[in-house]
Amino acid sequence: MTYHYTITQRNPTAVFTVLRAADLVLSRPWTALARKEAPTEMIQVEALRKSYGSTRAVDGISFHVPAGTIYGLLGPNGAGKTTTISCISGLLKPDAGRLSIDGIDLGSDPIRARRSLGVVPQETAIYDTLTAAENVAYFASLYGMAGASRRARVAEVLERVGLEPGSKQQSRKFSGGMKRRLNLAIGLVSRPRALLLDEPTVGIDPQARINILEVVRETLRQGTAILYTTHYLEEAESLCDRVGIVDHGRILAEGTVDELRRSVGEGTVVTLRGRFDADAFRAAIAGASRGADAGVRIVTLENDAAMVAVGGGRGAASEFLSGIVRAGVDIAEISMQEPSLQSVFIKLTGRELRD
Amino acid sequence: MKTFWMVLGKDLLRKVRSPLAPAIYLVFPVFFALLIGLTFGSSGDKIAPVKIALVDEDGGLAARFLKSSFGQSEGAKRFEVTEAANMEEGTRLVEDDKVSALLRIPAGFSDSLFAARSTHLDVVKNPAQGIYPQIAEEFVKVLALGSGAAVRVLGGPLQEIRRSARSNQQPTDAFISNVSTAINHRMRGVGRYAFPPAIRVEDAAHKPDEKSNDSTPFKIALFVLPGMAVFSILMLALGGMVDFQREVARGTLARQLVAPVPAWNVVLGKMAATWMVAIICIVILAIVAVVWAGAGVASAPGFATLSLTFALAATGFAAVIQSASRSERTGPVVGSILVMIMSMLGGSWIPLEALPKFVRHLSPYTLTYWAGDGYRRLMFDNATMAQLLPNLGILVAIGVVLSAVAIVLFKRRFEAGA
Repeated sequence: MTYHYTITQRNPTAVFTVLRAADLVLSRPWTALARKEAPTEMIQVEALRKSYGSTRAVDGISFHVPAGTIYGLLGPNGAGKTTTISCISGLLKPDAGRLSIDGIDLGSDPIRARRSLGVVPQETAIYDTLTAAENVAYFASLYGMAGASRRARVAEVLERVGLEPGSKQQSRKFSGGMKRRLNLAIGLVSRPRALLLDEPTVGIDPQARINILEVVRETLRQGTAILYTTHYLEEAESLCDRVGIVDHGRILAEGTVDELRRSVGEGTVVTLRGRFDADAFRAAIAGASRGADAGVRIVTLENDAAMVAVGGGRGAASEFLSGIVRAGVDIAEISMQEPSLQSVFIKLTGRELRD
Repeated sequence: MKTFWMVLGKDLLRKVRSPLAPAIYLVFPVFFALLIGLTFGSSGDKIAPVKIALVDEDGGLAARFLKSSFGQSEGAKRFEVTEAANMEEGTRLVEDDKVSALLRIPAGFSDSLFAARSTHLDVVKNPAQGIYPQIAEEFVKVLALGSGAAVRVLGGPLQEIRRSARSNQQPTDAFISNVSTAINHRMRGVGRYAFPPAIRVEDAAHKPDEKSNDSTPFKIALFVLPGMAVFSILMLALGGMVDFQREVARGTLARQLVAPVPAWNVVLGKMAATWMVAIICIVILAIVAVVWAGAGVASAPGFATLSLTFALAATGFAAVIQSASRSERTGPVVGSILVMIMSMLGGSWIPLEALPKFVRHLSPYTLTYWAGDGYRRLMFDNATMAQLLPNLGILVAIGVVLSAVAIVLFKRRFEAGA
């Protein structure tokens, strides 16, 4: 945000001081203001449980999403993300737990709670034979919008997602990326205070992805609370204020991205591929770690792959690697990286997110 | 209710943009009815005449009368008679498959007939042929029956004529006058039984309209059309309600259900769209029937009410099927089978009169019966609205009950997250 000042000749220093103070206030992100004004928790999930027969899909999940923040829900397929989102959106009746949107209990007053909620499902839930504008207008009308205000809002949302030129085109003629953007536009048309985004960038070209992420950030700046699920960990790292890692219906870890990274360890994450005997490997690691300043910790260990967190800088990691090579560990491939959500995920679940 | 109208408007717009399925269901009954009309309503002149061989061992008046019957009016059209000299020659014609039947008039046939003694005609049917020998036999039976009746009623005068014919003399005026008077008295005696006949058989197909020689196929098509239309509208309703499953699969139904609107409004809106499309198709079919085959009904309000109630029943039926189905495929398959069974039992495909008695007992348990019966009575019996009240009442009851069941089933499905 840029501000232009006019400094008068009478008392330029005083005026400048005042304007500088104003700048400090005004240049704060709008999200910060929104956070103060809006209810603290827009989406609240407490001890949510849902089973399908004997299968427990969601097993006591709790989290909350304040206004103007994004909460990332990460987990492999079948972890319970979609069931959680279906319960929050009111499509599924939970077996136990409490859900509220904008302070309104979803169980006791679902219609009122849903007024504040926007949902962008993983599938492109649009009508192929309707135009982009008709699609958005129809869903806007379900939220009570009508007449000129609806038309204006439809045009505004379509412009925001970059679909205004094709607004009178039937959506069956759209590319995958355009359909995704239309999918997002429908979720935004009601000006939701809480937004559920279920993998909104799956299977689209980079340009459309950039556009969607820009729209998500803009929506966030307006104070909307967003629950975001994605398979793209870099998206979660760049977008999310807090992240919950879900597997087998439970949240395994929760926190900011930095907090989660620290749970793996400071320093470098070394991924090794080769053939490892567990005991011999642990002995080799113990020997090699004596030279490392901040310690070495095995994150995961399998027959053919291992992830090790090495404290200190790159130098410590190199020293550690020299140590284990000297110890005779059979290594075929080495990669080093800073701790990321991927390594957090592997540490917690024992597998990669896309497994 | 606002949601209801929005869902209805959206679905109608979608159906207008994808008119293929309704168009198919519109074309089907017209095409099928026309096909049946052309198959069974074509002129009989095109059917090859039945070839029969005839051996006249009698040579008397009655034998000549029988032989001449094959050469007159309808007999001349339907039969091609080859006279064989004796039974050997006639049998050979049968064995060589040259004729469908051999008719033997035995010696003394005329004498026995006029003397009111029991006599017989021999028919040898060609076993190598199907229906033609049967036709020949039936025709001979009719001739035998007619001849017997004529001899019993006009026995005396006929004896006089026979005697006159044998004498080879020119009959006098007095003779002709006496015979005529005797015939007149005999006919007057049986008059109250024979004239006018208690049962009169009229064959409209044998009196073709001079202006339009192909009116018969159209008439048959028109007779078949109501049943076909009922079948087609039920299939159309099934197709319309399949949209529910499509919306489930594409996620658009879930998207509507997360909006702050009652779920039953969405269900009702979709059902209303199917109902309206069914009504529009009925109206189009009615226009086609009027313009194409000159159909008409005595009661326009009766037709309108019957169409509204039938569309309601069809929609309720289709909604129940879809609400109980778990996939886009199950509903149409199960629904189509049920519609076909109902169409068969309810007389949509085959006239009720032609169905076995036990099947006819089942007919009133199908909605196709009440709809088809209603349309036929409107078109062919000039039924009034009051006369259609049973049909209307039952169709409304079916529609309301099935729609209510469907809404409850859909609600349960939504709550279960299906």
